[in-house]
Amino acid sequence: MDKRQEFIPPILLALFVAILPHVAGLPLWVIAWCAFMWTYVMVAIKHNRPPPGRFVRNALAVIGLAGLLLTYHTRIDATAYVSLLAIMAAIKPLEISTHRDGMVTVFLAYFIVITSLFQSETLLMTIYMFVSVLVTTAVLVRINDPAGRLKAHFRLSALILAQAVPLMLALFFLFPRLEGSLVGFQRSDFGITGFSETLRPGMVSRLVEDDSVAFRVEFDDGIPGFEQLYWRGVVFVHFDGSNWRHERWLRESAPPETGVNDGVSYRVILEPHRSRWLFALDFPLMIPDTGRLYEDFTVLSRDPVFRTKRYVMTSDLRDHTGKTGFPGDELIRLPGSGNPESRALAARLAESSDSPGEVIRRALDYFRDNDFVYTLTPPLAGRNPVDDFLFSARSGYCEHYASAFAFLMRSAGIPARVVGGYQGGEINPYGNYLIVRQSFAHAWVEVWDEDKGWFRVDPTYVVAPGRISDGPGDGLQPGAFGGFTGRYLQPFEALLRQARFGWDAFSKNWQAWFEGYSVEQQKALLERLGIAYSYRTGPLMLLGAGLSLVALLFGVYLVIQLRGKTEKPDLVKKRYEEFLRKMAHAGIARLPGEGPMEFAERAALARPDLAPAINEITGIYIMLRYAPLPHDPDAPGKLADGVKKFRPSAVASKD
Amino acid sequence: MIRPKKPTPLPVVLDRHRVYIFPTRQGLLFIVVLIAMLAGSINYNNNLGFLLVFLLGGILLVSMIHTYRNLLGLQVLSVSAAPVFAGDDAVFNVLLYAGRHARKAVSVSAGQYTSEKPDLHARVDEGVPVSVPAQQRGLLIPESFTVSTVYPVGLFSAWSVLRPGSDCTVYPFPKGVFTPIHDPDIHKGGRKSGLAAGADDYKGLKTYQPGDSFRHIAWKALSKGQGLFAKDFGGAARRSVVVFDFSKVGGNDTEDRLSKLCAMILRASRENRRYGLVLPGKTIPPGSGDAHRHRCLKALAVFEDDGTDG
Repeated sequence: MDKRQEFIPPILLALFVAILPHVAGLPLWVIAWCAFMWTYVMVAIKHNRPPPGRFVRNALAVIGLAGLLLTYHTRIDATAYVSLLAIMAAIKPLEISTHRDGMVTVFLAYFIVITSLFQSETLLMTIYMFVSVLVTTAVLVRINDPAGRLKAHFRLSALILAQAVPLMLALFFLFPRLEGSLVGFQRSDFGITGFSETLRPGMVSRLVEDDSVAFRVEFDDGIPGFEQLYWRGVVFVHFDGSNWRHERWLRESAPPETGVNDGVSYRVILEPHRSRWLFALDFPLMIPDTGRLYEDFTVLSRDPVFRTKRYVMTSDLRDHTGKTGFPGDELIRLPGSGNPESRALAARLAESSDSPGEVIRRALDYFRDNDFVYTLTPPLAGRNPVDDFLFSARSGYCEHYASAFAFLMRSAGIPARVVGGYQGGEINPYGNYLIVRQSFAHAWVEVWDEDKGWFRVDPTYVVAPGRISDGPGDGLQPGAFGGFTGRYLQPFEALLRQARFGWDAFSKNWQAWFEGYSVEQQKALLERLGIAYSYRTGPLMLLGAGLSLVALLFGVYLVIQLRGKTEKPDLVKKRYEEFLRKMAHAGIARLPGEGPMEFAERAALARPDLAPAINEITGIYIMLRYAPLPHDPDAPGKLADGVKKFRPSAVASKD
Repeated sequence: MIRPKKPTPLPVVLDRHRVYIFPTRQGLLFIVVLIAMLAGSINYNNNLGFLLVFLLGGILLVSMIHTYRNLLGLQVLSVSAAPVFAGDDAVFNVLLYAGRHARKAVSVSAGQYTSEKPDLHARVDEGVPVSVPAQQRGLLIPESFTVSTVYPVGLFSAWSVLRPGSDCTVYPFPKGVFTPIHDPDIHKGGRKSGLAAGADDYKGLKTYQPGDSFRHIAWKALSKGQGLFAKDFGGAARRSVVVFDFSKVGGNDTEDRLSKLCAMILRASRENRRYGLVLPGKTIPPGSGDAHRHRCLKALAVFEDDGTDG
């Protein structure tokens, strides 16, 4: 039988299931590569074509590696690693010809499964992991039982999984966790969403359709009004004519002196974003130990956030910091030239105003009175993007408004900066917490005033007040949210929203519990059992306990599975053995390896007087043993009778 | 691994004293992969990674029980082989009885020669034929038979080594154009007249007599409790009696002579003659039938040349 036909399609299934979660993160050509190879293999099998030779396979391996090198150069990060696995997974099926090849390829699938876990630990991923292990194990069974039915293989796989789960849980809870990691490893910026260090036009608006969760927030006492929910992330101070850039070199600072000491306290559960930003409500008063507060009142984590991070913060929700010193010329600096019309507008506003406050008011009036449009799809800007926005296009998303407004302020000599972060949130009624999605990304402006210090001005609010009070979708031009969801799912929207909130609440609790399970929880677990945990001996005790529990479970399985499975020596055999014993007493012993027929023939020749009895007993025995079913139900009784009555005299054989 | 060198009396139940289990090479590789995954999970402090590693570890342990169970309690009833001629494959029929539950993918091997049975149904005897090339005449006795399985996931192998001592009689390779049977030189005892009915003419049942071929036992009658009968095919032909004598067969050497004798016996048997055999040190009186033929050919198979070239 051609092993390829039996093995490969299920193995491809296992590989496909394993790679699926990676599809978004892999380079397009790697995905195409896999798709091509697997299709080729399937076609080749269908048409019974021989697998490609060693030369072709080696050449493909070299091409694949070269492609990787071109894509990643020498940057060895997680994506590069997964791409390498994917390329191997694509070529490997070409050379499966033996049982061993099949097994090794399935191990590769298991390996790919774990790499996707390192990138996401969500509930969804956990469920998916079980599914892919189920599939992969079923394929493993298939390789070892090619004649069986696939359905039976899945059933057995499910049984094995179900039996493995208690062992898994015992080890999971008791396997000692360490603090920190063994060796550092460069993590990639896999699927990074959210903010970067530069604010480009279009950067925020591209997030609007990204429904993924940026972070969740639980408030100690009630969720504040939406107009107050400005989640500060990054402060952009350097303007080059179209982009705003973050200042890398910041001094640490004390919290702003707002005069308020007991702000609003809340817990943030931040999804990994691979950067150091820790989002805080304006303006942070107390920050977590793992973070640092900088002079622009942003909070940065000590290490990039690769895993879900929980932190507690306290903020003062007023829109200004209170008196601070003059922030420096840096905050009114603009490029030497460009955007002349905007500069002229700023100069006019400054000339006709008595105070900075009036300049701000009149600049906002300018936005209000000139039919500005809030849209995700503004026309492309030219060489003077601020001029284009303010005087010709007059449409854009929040970053356009923030950028133009800050430009006007600086042109008028007022220190201003752009703040990037999130605004608002979604209240989950199940669990009463706030979900802040990537789509809530926002940019606003902070202006410095001698008395108030830094205070927040949100020009978007003037153009689209609903954006602030009702969420990011509101106030957008119709058609911005087109597509499938908008058109066809309208009637189910309420239901969908509810389901989504329910899932979110459940998965948040799961994540908080599951991902957070660590050395502290183990300590608590042991202490609840009345065992003191010390950091020196604790891990050993846990390991011992875990292994004992596994051994115990294993023993229980053994007993259950193997109990009574050994068939009692059957009576037919027992009767026949009795007959053999009697024959041996009579001087004719069966030789090793001598079959019943041979023995009977020999014995009948040696003792013709016993021949009829020997032949009858042997005949019934052979029939019960060898003749096809069903047997005569009386036969065992006859055998027993025959053997019982069989009393050979010890007469010497007359050979 | 200490294996009993003493012969295994059949039938035997593969109980826990007889079944060994150890990871296969793929199983060992799997363990290495798991250790690597565990190291990764520890490094990243990734609980989901831990979960997967422990799930796979659990699968490994559970699969061990499944594999063990697939072999445990299996009964090996007999190992037997029909005689073959040198140069053919000796087919040892290893008769297995699955017992209470069905078993899958059980292999039986004799040395490097393996045969796999995808399914063994519950409570049914099933034979697994293991072919071993029979190069030389004599008794082919494989040192041991190994019954093994890696089902269901191939990570563990459970096996049991049996030494049933079963043999396969390997007749000499029949060869050569031999002297016609009527040749007076090898013709002894003269003709006896009386050509009986053709061998294939079924005449009915007769009472079983010692020496009647087992192939002719009327199983149906036996199973109905009517007693032991043999099917009468008209009896052996009694056309003539010939005796084949080792010392009178020409040939280059002993093996050559044995091969020629073998061919002669086969022909005589086919022609339904009564024939005898004379070998140095052994004489088989004339007879006929399957048992007689086997007796003669076996004598050739196990013949040991004591140096006296006849």
